[in-house]
Amino acid sequence: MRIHVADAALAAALGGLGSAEGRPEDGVVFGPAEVTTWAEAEEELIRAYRLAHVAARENAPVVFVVDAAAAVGRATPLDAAVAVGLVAGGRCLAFEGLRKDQYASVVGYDGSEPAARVAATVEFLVASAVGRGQTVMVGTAHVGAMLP
Amino acid sequence: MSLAIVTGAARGIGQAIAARLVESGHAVLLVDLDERVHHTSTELGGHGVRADISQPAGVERIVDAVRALGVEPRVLVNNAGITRDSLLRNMDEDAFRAVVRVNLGGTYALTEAIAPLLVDDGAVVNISSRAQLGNVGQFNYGIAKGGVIGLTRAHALALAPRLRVNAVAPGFVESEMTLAMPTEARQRVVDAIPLGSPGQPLDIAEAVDWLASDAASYVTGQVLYSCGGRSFA
Repeated sequence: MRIHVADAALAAALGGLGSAEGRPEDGVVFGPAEVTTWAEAEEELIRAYRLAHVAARENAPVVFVVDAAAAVGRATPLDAAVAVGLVAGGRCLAFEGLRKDQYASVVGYDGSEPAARVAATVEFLVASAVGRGQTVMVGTAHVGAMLP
Repeated sequence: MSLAIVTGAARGIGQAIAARLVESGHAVLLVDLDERVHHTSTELGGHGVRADISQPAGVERIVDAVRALGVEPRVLVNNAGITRDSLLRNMDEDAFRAVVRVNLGGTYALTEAIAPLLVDDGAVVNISSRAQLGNVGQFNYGIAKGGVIGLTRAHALALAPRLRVNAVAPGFVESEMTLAMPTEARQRVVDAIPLGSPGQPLDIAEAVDWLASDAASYVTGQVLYSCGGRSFA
């Protein structure tokens, strides 16, 4: 499974699922980097597309991991656009995957959460295939904030 | 009189929004890549500019047009958008990039450029889509329109209390494109809408007009679904 997650601690914690050299044909966990320009934002979304595209052709699972603050709009406009865009992308892919049993979901996490806990959530989602198209929030910083 | 800027205004939903804002007393600047924008703006008694919001030169052209009019800009409606639908497994990178660049990148760039020019208590209204809740064949469009909601919320926080920023998320709206759908496919979509019919461009325009008006002066960072109840059905 391909792990492409900008957060180095989380990427390392996801080692049980795969690695940066893993095959996207076996599944994808993608977490975007923070961005400061539109060009960077577009590039992160294109990275997500490229990996999810390969996974979709093989009906392999896809999980997007995003910063929880960005996912509720409490971030710079570009970081929020990338995060909420991926939330929506996870839903669209989950719909497409229903016929072929391809799994897709999104995990939002805040930086105060131990990476191991976030990784365990991703592993559980992939293994159990629950929460298709849903955004699972890990952490307490945004309790009560309305998800987009 | 204050100015409202509406992108994607040559026809369809954008044209209806511009017409509704004229009724509400705004001068309007219609923006579109389609040359019909000049004809539409003449019909509405507004001003037209051809510009590509996905290119820096296009955004500059719009800013120049706003400044040249000499009317206080109060409202920006980011409506311009395109679709390139296909299942993700079949979607090529150009289709993904184009949709994200126009729908999301254009909305971001124009908001950043125009917001400093808007008068205090002005409003930005972004057009998202119900499709961001999930649609088959619209991974690119869903990401772009979800991203627009991210922009809406973050800009609402960044620009408060001077400006309000909200979004309207249309569902299935009657248009040249939807009228051209095969009858059976179109009927399936309509059957899933609780209110039993497609939306009309004016339905979306009314929602935009309200969010842009003082009647919504305590509303910011919100998404108004105008989709006949389809968002939860």
